[in-house]
Amino acid sequence: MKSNTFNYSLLAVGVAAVMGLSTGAMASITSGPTTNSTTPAISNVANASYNVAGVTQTATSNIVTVNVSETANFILYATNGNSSTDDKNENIATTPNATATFNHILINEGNVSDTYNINTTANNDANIETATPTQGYAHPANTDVAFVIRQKGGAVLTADQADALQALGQAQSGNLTGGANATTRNIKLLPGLQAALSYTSLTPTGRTGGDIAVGTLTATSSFITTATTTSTKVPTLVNENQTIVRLPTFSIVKTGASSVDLTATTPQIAYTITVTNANTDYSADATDFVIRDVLPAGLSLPNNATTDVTVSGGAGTPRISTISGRRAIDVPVANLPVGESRTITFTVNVDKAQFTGANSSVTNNVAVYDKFVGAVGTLSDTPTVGTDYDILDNTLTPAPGSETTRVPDAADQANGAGVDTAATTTFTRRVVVLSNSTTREIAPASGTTGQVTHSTNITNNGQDTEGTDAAPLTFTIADDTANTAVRPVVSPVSITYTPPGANPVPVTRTITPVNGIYTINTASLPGGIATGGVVAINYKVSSGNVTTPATVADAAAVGSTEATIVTLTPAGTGAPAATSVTDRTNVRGLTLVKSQSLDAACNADASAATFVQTAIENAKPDQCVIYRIQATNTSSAIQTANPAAASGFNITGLTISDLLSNFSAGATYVPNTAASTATNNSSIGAAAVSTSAITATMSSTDVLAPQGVASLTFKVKIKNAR
Amino acid sequence: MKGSNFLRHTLFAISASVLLLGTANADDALKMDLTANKVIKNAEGKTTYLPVRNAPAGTVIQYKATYSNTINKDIQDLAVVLPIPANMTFTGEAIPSTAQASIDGKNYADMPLMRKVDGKMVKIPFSEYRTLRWNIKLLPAQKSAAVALNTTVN
Repeated sequence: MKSNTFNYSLLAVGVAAVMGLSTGAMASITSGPTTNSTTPAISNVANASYNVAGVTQTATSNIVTVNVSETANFILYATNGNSSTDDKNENIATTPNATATFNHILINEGNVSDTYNINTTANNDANIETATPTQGYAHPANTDVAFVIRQKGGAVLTADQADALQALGQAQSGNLTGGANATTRNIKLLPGLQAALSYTSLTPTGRTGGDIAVGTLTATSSFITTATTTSTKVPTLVNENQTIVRLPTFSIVKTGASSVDLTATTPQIAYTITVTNANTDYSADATDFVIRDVLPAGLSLPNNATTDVTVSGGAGTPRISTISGRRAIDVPVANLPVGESRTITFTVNVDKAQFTGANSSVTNNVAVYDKFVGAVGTLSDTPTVGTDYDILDNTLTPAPGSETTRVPDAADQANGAGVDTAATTTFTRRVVVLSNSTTREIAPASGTTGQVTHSTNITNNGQDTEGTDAAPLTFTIADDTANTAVRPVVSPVSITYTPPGANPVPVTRTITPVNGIYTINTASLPGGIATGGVVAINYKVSSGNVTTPATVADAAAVGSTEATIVTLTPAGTGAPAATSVTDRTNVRGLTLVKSQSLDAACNADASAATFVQTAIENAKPDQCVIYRIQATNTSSAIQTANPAAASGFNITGLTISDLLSNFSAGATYVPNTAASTATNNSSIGAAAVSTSAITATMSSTDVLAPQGVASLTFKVKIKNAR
Repeated sequence: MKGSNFLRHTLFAISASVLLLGTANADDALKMDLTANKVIKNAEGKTTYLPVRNAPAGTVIQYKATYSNTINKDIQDLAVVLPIPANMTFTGEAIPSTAQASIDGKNYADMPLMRKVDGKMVKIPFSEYRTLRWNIKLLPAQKSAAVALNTTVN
């Protein structure tokens, strides 16, 4: 018996070698030979009857005995998967609602007819390595198994084999049905015959890409099961079947301009859609799907034609339609192998009227519709899942409930292979107006207190908040250097922000320049300048080279002028061009004019005299000369109605004085002739004569108003004996 | 030829002994020897027969019954019955082919055996054959002959 076992092992190795199988795999696909420890014996004896001389006789032969050595041996292997002769059908691709078929070959390699009980289970066989199944997902147990009996190798049965099979009561083909281990799941095979076994597993509709199921098909030899042997016997062989749901994972990336300036005549956005069939553990080529982009309201194709859309990489001709008033672009794609991409590009016009709010933006999404089997046809406005499509992946965030990517959630999330990105474009319409060019009048030496203040306005006429970190405004205050004695004060300036709306509450803040540049941003003006808001830049101009000019040379010349240029430079996205205004500072002050009039009879009144600044010829002794000293405030009238207009100033503390020594050598003051006057709401004290001078002095309440003239007159008589 | 001469000499010796005894009982008039041989066909199709005691299933075994008339009288109406053992299947080869077959050991008919199934006459599978019988009208005195059938070990 031991010898027989050894011989059959060699035989099995030989069979495996002939089939191209490795002996390593043999253990799992072949039972090896099994022989009963007791050998059945077949005895036979012949007999005869005959007549001899009419008398019937009988005869019996000797007994002959044949000891039969019965050996059972069978092979079960799986023909799908990586190998067509191993113990597993692994990595069988399937899709939801599709049927996976598993094929196996059962061969009777023994020398006796044997009966095999064929079962399917939902088991994950510990000794057969395929893949870890998804929890709760397995192939069906006790399912029907179809069989077709042939000669080993696949040739049809000979007539004798067919007869013998029939004698065993075994059909050549059919289905094995019934519960586990039921006799209805038996199949009988003559030695040298094989049965092609196959069964199917329907993938549940709800399964997603990457889901793995396993199950087994087992064949149990009746002979080996009941064999009486002390050797190890393998009555049951197991093949494992493993499927994986393979579906494409779409990565949809849509890009467009991040910002568009709506001040353009025809603002446009150029979009690029790239759809990639991402490579995953469960990836599959995508076929006959449709990429749909429904443009947001306010966006339109320039020509509303397919020529507006460019496709690459084998995508089909786009279809243009209208869905709820919005333009829709459908691009069918016949085939997108794993790892490849299709690109669609097009440009849209932007309807400016629909994006007038602050921080307006538009997000353009795109979707991919695919079916498990067959082509996605012409999509309706509202496609129906299960009918028009099985897979819907889009760039919407968060994903809507209608999305059904049919791949693991992680694949469609951040860092996933199928993460999707929409295109968001922010609109800007920045209109910043710099206005209110002002004119100011300044004294020749302003000191600190006499500095004049210009006020330049920044008005936000756009739709977005200005003066923020995203849209900062910078400005400079530049001296044009024409008049070196007049210049803007380089120091912090105050800005006054007047918000839009009724009853605004102005806000004043101080901005310190950095390298001569002032910046209005979130730090310097929290909240920025809302649409319609106005910021007034209040800066000072000084005159005189020093704060307190010691000499006339230190002061600016009365009548001189100087320009100051305020330049506003918006920054950030959609920034408009820099603009400037020029403010003007005019130097105004006191002019002093001395004139004279000949009073030949020494009896004229000063008010009636005619004064000249030229020399008086032919004056004679004992004639009189009337002097008039006029101090004029050259500044303009103080403005209140128009802040931008030039505005003058009052002069105070004025003393008009003429020394007696100026004329005492040739003339003598005529007593009681000194007088003072003032015009234009001005006033000055009465003329006074001392031993050295004739003066008129303002009191603390007197002012010399703009354009006002304070005059001092007095009369002298020409000496006749010098 | 050599084997054949040997057989002939043997038969002659047996015949001689019968004649010498002359007292042979009629019950012993027919002597039957049954042998079992394994049928082997070589690559050229030539068949040889080897005595067999042990055989694996599937082996073709030929049972050969040699019957001899040991007396000096003819034997008439000789019926030689050769069973097909259980666990064996008749291959359909009988020598001579004039044998009749039975599936119950009682009723014999010419081969192939037929029966009616669903109104049609169909062949009965050889696996159901249980016995073969050869009917021999005359076996002359001191003569021998043989019948055989082939079976396959189940």
